[in-house]
Amino acid sequence: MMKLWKNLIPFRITVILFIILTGAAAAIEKIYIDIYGPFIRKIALAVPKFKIVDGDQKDYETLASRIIGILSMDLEISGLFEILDPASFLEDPRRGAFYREEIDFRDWSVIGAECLLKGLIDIKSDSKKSVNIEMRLYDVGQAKMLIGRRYKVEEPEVRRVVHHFSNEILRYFTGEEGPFLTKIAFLLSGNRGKDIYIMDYDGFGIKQITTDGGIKLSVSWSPDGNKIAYISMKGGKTKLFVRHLLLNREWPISAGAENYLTPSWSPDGSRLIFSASRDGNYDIYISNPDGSNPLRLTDHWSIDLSPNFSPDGRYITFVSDRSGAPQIYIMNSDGSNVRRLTFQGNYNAQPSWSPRGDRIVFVSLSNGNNFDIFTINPDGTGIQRLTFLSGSNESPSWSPDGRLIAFSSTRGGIPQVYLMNANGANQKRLTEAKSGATNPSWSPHLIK
Amino acid sequence: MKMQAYRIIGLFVLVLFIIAGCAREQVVKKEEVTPPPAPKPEVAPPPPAEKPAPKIEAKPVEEKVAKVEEAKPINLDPIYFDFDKYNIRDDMRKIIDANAETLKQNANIKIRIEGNCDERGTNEYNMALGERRARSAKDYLVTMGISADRIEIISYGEERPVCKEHNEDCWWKNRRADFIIISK
Repeated sequence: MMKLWKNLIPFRITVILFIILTGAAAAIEKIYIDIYGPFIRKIALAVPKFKIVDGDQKDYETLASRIIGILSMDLEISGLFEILDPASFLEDPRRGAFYREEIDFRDWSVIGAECLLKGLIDIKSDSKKSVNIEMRLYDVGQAKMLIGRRYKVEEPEVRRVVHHFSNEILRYFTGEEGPFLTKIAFLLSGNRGKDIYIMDYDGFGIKQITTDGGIKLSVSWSPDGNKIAYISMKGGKTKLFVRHLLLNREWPISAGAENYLTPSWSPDGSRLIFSASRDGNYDIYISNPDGSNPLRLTDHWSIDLSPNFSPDGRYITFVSDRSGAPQIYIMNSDGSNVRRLTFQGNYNAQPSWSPRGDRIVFVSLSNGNNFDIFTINPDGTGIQRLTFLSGSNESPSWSPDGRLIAFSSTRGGIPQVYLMNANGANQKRLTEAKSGATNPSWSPHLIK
Repeated sequence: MKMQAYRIIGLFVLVLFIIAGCAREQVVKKEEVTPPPAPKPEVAPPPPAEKPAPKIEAKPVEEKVAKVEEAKPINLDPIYFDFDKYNIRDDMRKIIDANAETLKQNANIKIRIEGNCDERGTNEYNMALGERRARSAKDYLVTMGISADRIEIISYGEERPVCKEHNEDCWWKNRRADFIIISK
């Protein structure tokens, strides 16, 4: 599967791990920060101008500042780092200090930097099109290199190698795979309907997937990263489709119902779970990914929809209006033991279980018109509000590491896709769609 | 025909009796059909019948005239719903009753009832809610003696708003079931 992805997006990067320092080993034994704690003390990080070797300064300064921009966004949105203002830097950039021996770490400790990220662009290369980009992360207090990587890369791949390095940094500090090479699928509104698009997690590299422009709802990325399940209106019915992204083909999935809504996948990808209506009543069903062996999990006169598995596959959270208005419920994965999760608010919907299993994100109609995003423990305690009085905030989707949430918001008028940390910090707009971008669905990790 | 007409009149009288005679029973009855009343949104509009009624009648007529231009004398008016509800409101009964009458007089036409919602609520829930609105309208017509196979239903959820502003002046127009003639 991973190989297929590489074919789809040519990954022509030679990663030369020319330095193997204590970094990787240290990461395993030492987890610096508990990123899931309510208060995170951020690491003060300085990212000075890159050094340019053997090249026309002007050309490569643009490239270098682009790289710094990408790194800064990655590391800032991770919620782990505070990027220091370059105006406070004392080091003379003309000295071109890059290697550990060349750096005077006191220049950095006095301005409060705990980490220092140094970069070097070397255009001396066997091919004219490629450059060498070398990046090193130093611990200022210990005057020691934590991570160092050298990439030989062609221009269009620069974003990917920088995200790769950001992932390395995150792995060093958390011991986990970072989200910087993942993607987000979403719906882009057109004149009459919506089409599915995919973009990088940071909003770049937008690619159109469907082209029919019809009404679409509920995009869900498969756990293997190769497929997307979604709802498309055809002939007056809301139909369920699974599209294979690599084969560029799609299949209608029929489980014997008239209308379908809100598909999602079991954690191992072996089952599809969705809401389907026979005779006008929506209940939750589970089937094979081709629609075979459909099994009804709820049987109630109410509207039951938006089923979503816990990461261990044991529970399903879903929405039902059986109490008179939409609320979030949890049941066992066989449909037994249905219990209500949310009791605050008159309209709660779109639950999604975090990849770590410890939180459920959902939306709540807060002032009659607008949704806000909340998280709650699966036992109903610890409710936390993540968005405040900023348009309608909907369709929350977790990054595969559980550190970030993508969502759509009308805070700027037209709905756009935004990102935030799982605790609501660092809210940032990703799209700039003319008539609206909605329903983000985060991919799993795509390339190790 | 006559029998049916009597039946309708009978039903009408019964409905009137219930409304006029026994407010209590009405409340009880409502609760059976609709889910427990979720606290209404502050903006909650609708109607002690009087204010919205003229609005409702005026608007659709204009639209229909503009759309259909001339030719067709057959006119089926839309009905409107409360937020997050799919029961036929009392003030909508005379509209849907008139639609039923029109369908009886034109026994050859088939219709499609299109359920719609305002933008509040999630898209997927509104798709289900729109289907319920269309189905409520269909069930009502069937109860009034219109054959079920003359009626198909569809939900557009909140995907086809006739009014796109973000306020109740717009929302009430979008919480709607349209009766579209699909064959004569």
